[in-house]
Amino acid sequence: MADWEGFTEEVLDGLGPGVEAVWSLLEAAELVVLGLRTDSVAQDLQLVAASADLGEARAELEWVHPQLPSQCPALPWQEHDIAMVGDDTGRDGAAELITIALSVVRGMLRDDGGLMPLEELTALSRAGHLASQAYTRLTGRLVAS
Amino acid sequence: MSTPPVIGWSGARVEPVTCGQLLGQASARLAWALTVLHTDPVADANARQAVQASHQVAAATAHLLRTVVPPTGTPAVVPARETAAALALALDELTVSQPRERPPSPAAGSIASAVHEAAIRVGAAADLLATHHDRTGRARSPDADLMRDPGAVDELLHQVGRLTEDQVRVMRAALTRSTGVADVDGEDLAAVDRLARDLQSAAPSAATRAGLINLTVAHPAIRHGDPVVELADRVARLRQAAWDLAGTPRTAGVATLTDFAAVGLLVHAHTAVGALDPDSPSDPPAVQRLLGGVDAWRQLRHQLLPLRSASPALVGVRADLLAVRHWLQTVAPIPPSAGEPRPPVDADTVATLRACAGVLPDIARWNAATFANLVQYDHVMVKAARLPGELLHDDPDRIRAALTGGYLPAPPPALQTVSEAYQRLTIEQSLQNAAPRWMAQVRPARLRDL
Repeated sequence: MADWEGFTEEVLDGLGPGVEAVWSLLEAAELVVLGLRTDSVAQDLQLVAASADLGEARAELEWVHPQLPSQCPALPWQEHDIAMVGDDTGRDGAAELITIALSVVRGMLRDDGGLMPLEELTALSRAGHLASQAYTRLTGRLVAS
Repeated sequence: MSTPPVIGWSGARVEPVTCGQLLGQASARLAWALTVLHTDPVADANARQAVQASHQVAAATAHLLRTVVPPTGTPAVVPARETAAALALALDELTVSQPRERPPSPAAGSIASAVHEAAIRVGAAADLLATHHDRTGRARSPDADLMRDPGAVDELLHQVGRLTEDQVRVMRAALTRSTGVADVDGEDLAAVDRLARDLQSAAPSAATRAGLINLTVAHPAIRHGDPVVELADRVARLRQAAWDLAGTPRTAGVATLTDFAAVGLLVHAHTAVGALDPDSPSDPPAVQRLLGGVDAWRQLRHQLLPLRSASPALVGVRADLLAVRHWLQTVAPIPPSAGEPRPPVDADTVATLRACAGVLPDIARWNAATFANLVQYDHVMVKAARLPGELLHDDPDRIRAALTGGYLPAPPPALQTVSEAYQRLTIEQSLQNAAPRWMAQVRPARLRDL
């Protein structure tokens, strides 16, 4: 059994402020999703699409903040990768990471007081949209508001 | 006379022309000219101009031969090389007496104009091949190596030999019909004819081979307007980019390799969507192989994600990745949730998607070289914080990096799993796919005959 708690703990500990946190959380969620497998082809394709949604969401943020990948800490590398956590734990864990990312996005949009540059606003909302799409693909539910 | 290629309702549908097509068009024009010269009673007035135009074809052919078999620098692995060089010289002899200045353009629709058009196409074929090397002779595309492949060169030389024979026939017929002084040496013409035949026997044609004949211009533009066409063009450009990056060490970092892995993953996944039959419960072996590709590329991206290097993601590759994803979602969508039905995907689209999947082993091979180079120069890093103690080697700098959230060169197991993943993708996938090697064939079948 890989160190799932250690993984999430380190991701959460290393989070930067604002958009950096969103980027890191989405990257961590993608790593978890890429490690998941199911027996059903349809489900498996959903996992692929969810990982692509998460990757694209980060790309949206990187258009506005190209320095994000070098600013945000890399994901913890472990010799026994976290794909071993099992599907349900992994799926719930990834969904949880996405939920936290979305709450950060929501907070940023709520607290900005109309000062956020337009390109940042659109990038954040595009990333938020893609992340919620990934959430739906993973859980079959819409993100609770 | 064959008509020029039809420009369809959308510019997006026009295929990039191949070398073989240009030579085919030239042959067709020469054949038309020959027929008219033999049959049309009023051909005489035009025949003299046709002789002039056929000198242009001869000059263009000599140029083409020198492009395929350069006077220097080609290893003598092509048996027909000597004959080709001799033919180029003989063609020079034939055209040497011609005035240097450009003759007036023949009237449209005349014999001379058809022969003139043939000359333009032969010259264009030489130019097309020349785009695959830069002025110092360095390759500009992954397909440039074909010009060193004896079989591929033979196939083209055979076709050039046949074309030259046609030229001789046209020139002879035009000389017979033309009035006034003939300025062509019969012996020179006979020498060209003989060498053209020699070239055909020295360079056997292999009809099944996809070689220089199928080469398009290097770096073709992306055609917009038809999603399937644009998708294939973008994948072709990504193949070119992967090749370019393997040749320019440390331009691309891990971020770009991770983007390439996403391309591999998505192309396989959406091709599987297209190939899956919604009504049949079991998946045929072809779909199983695609799903195997999904898994292999997914593992690779999974292994690359925690690795870092200094180079940021290259914007061009990233933009192509996002466009590829967009068009894949358009032509063979994965529905928003597992329960929803998949819309059917037409067979031509699936064929194009399969051909796109067929170029991914190439991308894997060149990405592997890029990665190996990054590893060699210690450019691949991981976050030191969670590395096991034995990997810190009791080195104070390493321990400091681990304590301060710094980075260290990735440990051997991390690098090895990635290298192995690349190796699997290169070998297994290329065996499984057995797809066309050349991007000229990565086109929807319905567009091929336009």
